[in-house]
Amino acid sequence: MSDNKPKERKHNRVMATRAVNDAVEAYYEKCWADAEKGALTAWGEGIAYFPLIRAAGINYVFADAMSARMGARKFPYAKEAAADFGFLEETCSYARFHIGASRILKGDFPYDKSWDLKKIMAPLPDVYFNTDACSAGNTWGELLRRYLNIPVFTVFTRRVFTWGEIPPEDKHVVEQLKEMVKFIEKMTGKPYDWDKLREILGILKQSAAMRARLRDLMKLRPAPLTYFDVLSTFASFTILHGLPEAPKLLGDVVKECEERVAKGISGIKNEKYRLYWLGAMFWTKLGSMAEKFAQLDVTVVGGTYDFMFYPYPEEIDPDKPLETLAASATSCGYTLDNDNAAEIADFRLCKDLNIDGIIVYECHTCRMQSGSNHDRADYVARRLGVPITYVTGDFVDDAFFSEAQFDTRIEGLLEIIDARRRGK
Amino acid sequence: MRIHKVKNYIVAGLDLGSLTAKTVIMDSSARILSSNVTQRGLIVDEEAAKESFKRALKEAHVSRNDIAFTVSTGYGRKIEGFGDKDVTELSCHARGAYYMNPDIRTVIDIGGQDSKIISLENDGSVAAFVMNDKCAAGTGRFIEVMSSALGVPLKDIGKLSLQSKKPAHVSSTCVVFAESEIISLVSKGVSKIDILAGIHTAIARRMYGLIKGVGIKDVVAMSGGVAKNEGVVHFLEKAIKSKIYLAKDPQIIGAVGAALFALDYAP
Repeated sequence: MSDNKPKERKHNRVMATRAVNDAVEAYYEKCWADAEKGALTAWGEGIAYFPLIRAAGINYVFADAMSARMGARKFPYAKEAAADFGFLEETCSYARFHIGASRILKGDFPYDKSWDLKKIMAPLPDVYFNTDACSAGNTWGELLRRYLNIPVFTVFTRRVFTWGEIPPEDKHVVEQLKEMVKFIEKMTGKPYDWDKLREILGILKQSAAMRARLRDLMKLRPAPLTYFDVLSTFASFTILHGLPEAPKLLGDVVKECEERVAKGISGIKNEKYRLYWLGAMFWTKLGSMAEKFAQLDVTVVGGTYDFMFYPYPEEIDPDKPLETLAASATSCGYTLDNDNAAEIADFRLCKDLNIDGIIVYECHTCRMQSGSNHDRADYVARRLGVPITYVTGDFVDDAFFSEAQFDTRIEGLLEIIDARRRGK
Repeated sequence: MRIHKVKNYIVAGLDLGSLTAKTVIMDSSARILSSNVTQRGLIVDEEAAKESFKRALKEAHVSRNDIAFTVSTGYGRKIEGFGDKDVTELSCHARGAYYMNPDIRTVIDIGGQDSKIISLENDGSVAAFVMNDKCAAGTGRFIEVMSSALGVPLKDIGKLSLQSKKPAHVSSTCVVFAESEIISLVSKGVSKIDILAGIHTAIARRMYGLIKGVGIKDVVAMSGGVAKNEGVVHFLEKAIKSKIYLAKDPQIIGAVGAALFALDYAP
């Protein structure tokens, strides 16, 4: 329900988040510069085993994050290049954009040269790492192996797990990571740098602590920041993680938010509703979504996506690096069993965040990230007595988004909340 | 439900859907003075909205200046210059249906390009809702395309489908896939009547899947233009095993709800 009056801007963006984008751009440029000097570049799907690669001095680029960047920058050619390669629109959009990028970089697909590729994508990889995040990911790795003639290393991660445990039968993840270290040593021709790995995990622990602090700050009413601000720092984990600048950038965001709390400044102009975002995110619309919700007096106070990677700093143990990495992979959102995910990843958080309703995000080209969301939302909604709405979109492909339907579903949810408040 | 102020004034409710513009003019005692449904082309634009509003005002013998407050709803609810306030069609269909029959607890709304199932609280407000995804599968637009593909006028397809003894199997409600499926059925010599019954059954099957998302509570009402299609209503009743309540004009239920909200906000 809204007044049909001209709108003033209401999302009060945390300004320190802007620096994350600059740091990511600098990272991509560094990848290109290093590659020209002969350094190795790795692309990969999945995030849990990143530190292992980075510690060996290989520049690692998380495929999903690269696709998200292309989508956010509205770079049209990657999608077209994938379609030209025979990929249907229904295929994972992260995969499509990424495969399309490889075709463009290889010179097999034309693009408008006014685009500076070095700002939006990494150089072609020398190796591909696959964490068996999904079946599309496995096919994607195999395709790149053949197309680019590069080695691929895959870690098979069984699912479904219980929170925080590596059951004895799944020690095989740790064993595979030991094999991965040998593979990396062969690639670099150097003995593996375990001290560097421990250092990177220490940095990651600091970053996780900063993000946990942001989550605590979002529990305040009104919240000094929104979930969209948090997602603006997401690259601290997906691209910059393990680099010293990541905790510094996050620390600056925390500092700004704490100053806001002291001065009574909130993340949006007039917080009336607090919603939880269950599911992935459309990276092409982060800024416009932040403003759209602010216009409706909604603070989106949390969500599941950022929770998937190293949610608890105390569980990162630099002295047990392989076990820490295996635990991270086996306790992320989509490797957990539903009950665990709903109870730990959603319910406890939603309760602390004092939410009024849940937005379930269905990602059109990712069934894995959408399939269990209904059950998880239902579990939380029943226990907290809050309403749910379902929205459809995609990671990076705008073709699967209808703004009018999105607006109706969100405004409809708010009208239910209003009606319930009036009835109390 | 709010108690309206005892004062004489007139309000308007506009439901600017994807295919049609609907207007309801209402007095302060919540009596409907006039209603109008206008379709101009395949989308509702400012002109269609203006025309519908103008015709409804004329029928009620009032002018635009007599309207104390206007609420707009539907996908065009934010078109400038019409509503003093906008409310989603979810709340408006719920409220409009409840106004028609206070026993209604579930509303099935199949509009021009989307469909919704709305579960109502005992006071007529929305308890929960589900909507189809962004494609027009199984909606009014789908029926229009099928009617055109078969060369049967839209107004006749409902009645004709009720004559079927053996509905054809139509597996898809996707506008594109169903059209090719129908061409194939026609070429196999399946009668148009059986194909129409198959189309309506496919819509009913799809809606039943959506209904399970919120559960079904009697009394069930149907709103939107597709509620005028006896075939869809019949096959839907069979699917949900429940009688469907139909208002005299189910297409204006959203606009009625919007007018009722306008009464709440009228100065």
